[in-house]
Amino acid sequence: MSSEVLWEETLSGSSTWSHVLKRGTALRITAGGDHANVGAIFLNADNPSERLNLPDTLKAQHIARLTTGAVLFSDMGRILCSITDDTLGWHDPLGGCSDATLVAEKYGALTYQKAHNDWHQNALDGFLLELEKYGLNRRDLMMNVNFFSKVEVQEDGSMQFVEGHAKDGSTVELRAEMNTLVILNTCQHPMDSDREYRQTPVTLTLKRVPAPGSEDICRKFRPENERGFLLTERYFQ
Amino acid sequence: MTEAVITRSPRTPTEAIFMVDIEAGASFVHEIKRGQFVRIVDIEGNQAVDTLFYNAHDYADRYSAQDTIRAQGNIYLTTGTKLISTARNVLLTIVADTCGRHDTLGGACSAESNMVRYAIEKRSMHACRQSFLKGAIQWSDKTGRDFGKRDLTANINFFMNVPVTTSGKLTFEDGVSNAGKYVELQAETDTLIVISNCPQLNNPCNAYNPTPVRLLIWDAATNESMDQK
Ligand SMILES: [Zn+2]
Repeated sequence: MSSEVLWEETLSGSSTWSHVLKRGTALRITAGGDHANVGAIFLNADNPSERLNLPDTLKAQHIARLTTGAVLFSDMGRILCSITDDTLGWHDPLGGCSDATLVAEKYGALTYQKAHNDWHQNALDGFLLELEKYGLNRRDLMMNVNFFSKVEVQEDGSMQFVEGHAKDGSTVELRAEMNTLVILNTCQHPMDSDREYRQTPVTLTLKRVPAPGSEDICRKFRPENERGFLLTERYFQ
Repeated sequence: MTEAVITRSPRTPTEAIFMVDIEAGASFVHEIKRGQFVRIVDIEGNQAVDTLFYNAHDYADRYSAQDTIRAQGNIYLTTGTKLISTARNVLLTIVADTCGRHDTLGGACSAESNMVRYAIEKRSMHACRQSFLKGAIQWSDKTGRDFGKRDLTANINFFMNVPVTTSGKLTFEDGVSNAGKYVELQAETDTLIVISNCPQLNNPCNAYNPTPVRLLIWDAATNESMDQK
């Protein structure tokens, strides 16, 4: 696909990041090691009361996992980002995010004073800090996605974190369909049974990409997506 | 589906301190005090009762679907489920359930999602998010508290059956509820409850016929005397 790399940066493990991903660009996330996890939330940068609605995303596409072709629906029936490419076939929309208590119980509380940048951070605090930078707060939290992680649901409803899902070099690519405020962190998945506090970096690559054509894989994924793209295109007309 | 566990409540309607019927398409907002019990009755069967919960002292601390299902390691809600908030507080516990499972992944219907899911022409149809917003605006006017669209987050769909498969599909199945089935919760903290009794006319689960539900509240003291019998 014709696309031009605009910039690239490495985000270390257990850190937080945000960016307004402009319509017409795509963010490629590459795991910098096994055990990678990227928790992410998404808001319309031009009107942040519109944000990722995971229930709408799941029920419109009849999915409980995210993969190539799937789109991230907002609560306004529009598409924030589409997943145009991924090497894993499964990214988790169910497990949520870690918090200070969970991290302290699992890995021990380790302060900055003691460990400097190896201190034990958590995903919830990361989301809240980053939201605050845009004038947003706890009211603007939403269900989050966990890229590179897999949570299976058995027939009785029980949830299992699948070990060893992400591999060094795994990728996922998100194309912005509107100007999307992306907030993410590289903290471990809250259901990861690994007892070691790992800091797995990811590489973030921003590219300029063409607008989705009529045969686009995300547009064709479901008839619902076709209507989602139509409503998103109307928003910019 | 695996066999649902049915748990009955010892409380009787005659001892309830509050009772109301909520029509399909209506909103209902009410504060439940710590210790009180709230029961929702599916009067005619397979009705979806879309419900939001907030810490009554801090609306930014609200029901979290992901924290709730992760805490219990299961996506279905039933007796014993603790409803966890975004700040990881327990808002309520499900103490009785004659239906056996309830959904928290399917979300609430909205004018916008109806356009995506069914057809652009469905925009004008009444939907849960409209009811939630109406309830929030009225509550805000009545109490002076800041409460609006930003606060509408993950909800529970009582009496809805939305299974997830091992291959990662989300499906909508016929309900497991029936006329007269109920779910009962006890508040662990003062909790604001916001209900949209779903007006959905596009869903075969309710045979395209949304119906009223009944809500009852008991005081904590009623339970203590019941327990001593
Ligand atoms: Zn509804």
